Amino acid sequence: MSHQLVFDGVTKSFDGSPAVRDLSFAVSGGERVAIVGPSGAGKTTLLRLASGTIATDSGRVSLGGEPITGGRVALAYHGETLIGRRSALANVLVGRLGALPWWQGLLEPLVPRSPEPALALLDAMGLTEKAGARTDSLSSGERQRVALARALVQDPPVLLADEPTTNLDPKTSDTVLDVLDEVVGDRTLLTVLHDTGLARERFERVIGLADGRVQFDRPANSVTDNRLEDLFDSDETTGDGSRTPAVPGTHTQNDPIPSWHV
Amino acid sequence: MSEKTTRANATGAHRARSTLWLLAFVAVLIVAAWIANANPLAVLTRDAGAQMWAFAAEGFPPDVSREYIVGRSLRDGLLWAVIETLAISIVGTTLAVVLAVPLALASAATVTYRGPLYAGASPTRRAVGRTLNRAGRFVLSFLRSVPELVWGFLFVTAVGLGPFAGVLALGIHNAGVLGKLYADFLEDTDPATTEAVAASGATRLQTVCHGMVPQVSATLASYTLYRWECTIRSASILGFVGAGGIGYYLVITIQRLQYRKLLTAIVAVFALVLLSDHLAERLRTKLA
Repeated sequence: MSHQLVFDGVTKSFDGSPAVRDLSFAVSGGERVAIVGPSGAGKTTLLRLASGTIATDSGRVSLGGEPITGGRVALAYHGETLIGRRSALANVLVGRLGALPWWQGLLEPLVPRSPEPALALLDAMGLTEKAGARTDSLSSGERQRVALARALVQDPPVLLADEPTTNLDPKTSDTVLDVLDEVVGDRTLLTVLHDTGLARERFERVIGLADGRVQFDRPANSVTDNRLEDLFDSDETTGDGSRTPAVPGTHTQNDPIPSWHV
Repeated sequence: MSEKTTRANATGAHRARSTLWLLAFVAVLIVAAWIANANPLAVLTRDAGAQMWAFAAEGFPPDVSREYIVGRSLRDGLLWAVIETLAISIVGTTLAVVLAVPLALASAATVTYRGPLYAGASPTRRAVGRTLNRAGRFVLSFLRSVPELVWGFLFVTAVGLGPFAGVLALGIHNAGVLGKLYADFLEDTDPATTEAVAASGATRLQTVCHGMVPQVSATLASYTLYRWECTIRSASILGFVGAGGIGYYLVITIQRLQYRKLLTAIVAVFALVLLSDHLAERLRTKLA
């Protein structure tokens, strides 16, 4: 089956304010794409639409021509969305719930019958020794890797990652992206990144999003500084009138965790 | 209008609102104190002090006779009443938790009709969930609005005198209290965390178990332990209506003016409360 992810005229609003408008683009199977843009550009909404977590207001998101269904697209959320009181292993096992009968899923993360896939992923993430540690005792980088493992354990053909390098120092960002590169293999990868430098260095294609619209969609090596400046300048004020701090290419630029709408 | 002026206006409006709230609170307090006949000076008069002292002095020395503490067959002494009170509180709280969990799930909007679990739900599904939610909230309000003593009286008439009536009274009333607390905490969970679990393909029940409950499990445990402490105090007075426990000793010694025995019973209740405080604190530390 083809794993082409297609956005076709997708619009989504929350409480009357459009988050994304008329988005249209396609991502081929195995492609690695970075989404960049200022805060409030609609990047996280785009990922949530792609994962099928929220429905479109108009337009269509499809994978291989079919609507998105559970198990085919996995979204790696921020590390802050892990359950802090539970172990790294239990958090990763939560990613397998969709593949289990409902009654087995009630116990599996706590009393796992087949923890091997989750342990293998934690091993790949360099977290074997932390498998039993509560995630609230882990560093930001470790939590981020656990969150990635939670998505990857679903073994999806398409992986979406929401700012996997957020809150991380440059060295840890590189480590997380190295691990991501390695474990993603030939899957499709669509990642939101605030760090435009990393987006250009490590991805094949970059989509610039501002004000809910695609501003550019180009091979990474043809994304110029001027284009990025235009992207961030095109949306320099946020909804509350404050100026968006747009300095592309730095490691310290982080979106706040988006306010949550359903 | 300059930014500085706008900020100054906003600060002024905020202060005015705060002052209004404070004045409203003071007004409500004055009215409430008037209705409650609150007169702090009444307890500070020399006569009031002498009366209280005379009453307290009659309790000394407390009665610690073997006959009163242990009784003739162990089961008819004060010690057994203390044990019975503890037992009533443990079984009553457990019953409350068992009843509160399903009621809380029905009464938490984030479980029944709102939030990440219902992102793609139909309007009909949401309407059904909202109705269930309101019904759950109504039941919880009813259960906790009837005082434990009244439930105790009701269950004494239903199952007869004894500790089981106390268990039922505590269980039913506290199901209302705990159910509301659990539901409120579930509504305060982080939707992003819940969504991240739901996005893995988990069912709603699985998402509640592994996405919502673990976010607040320490708080739930802490409040449950607090309610257990409360049930010990409540169990101490349920004996007033014949629902077992140390309350029987409190009421009987008051009625018979046996103040030395009354003081011993009060000290026993105090020791029980201290013990439960200590145990609950240790459990809380373990659960944190």
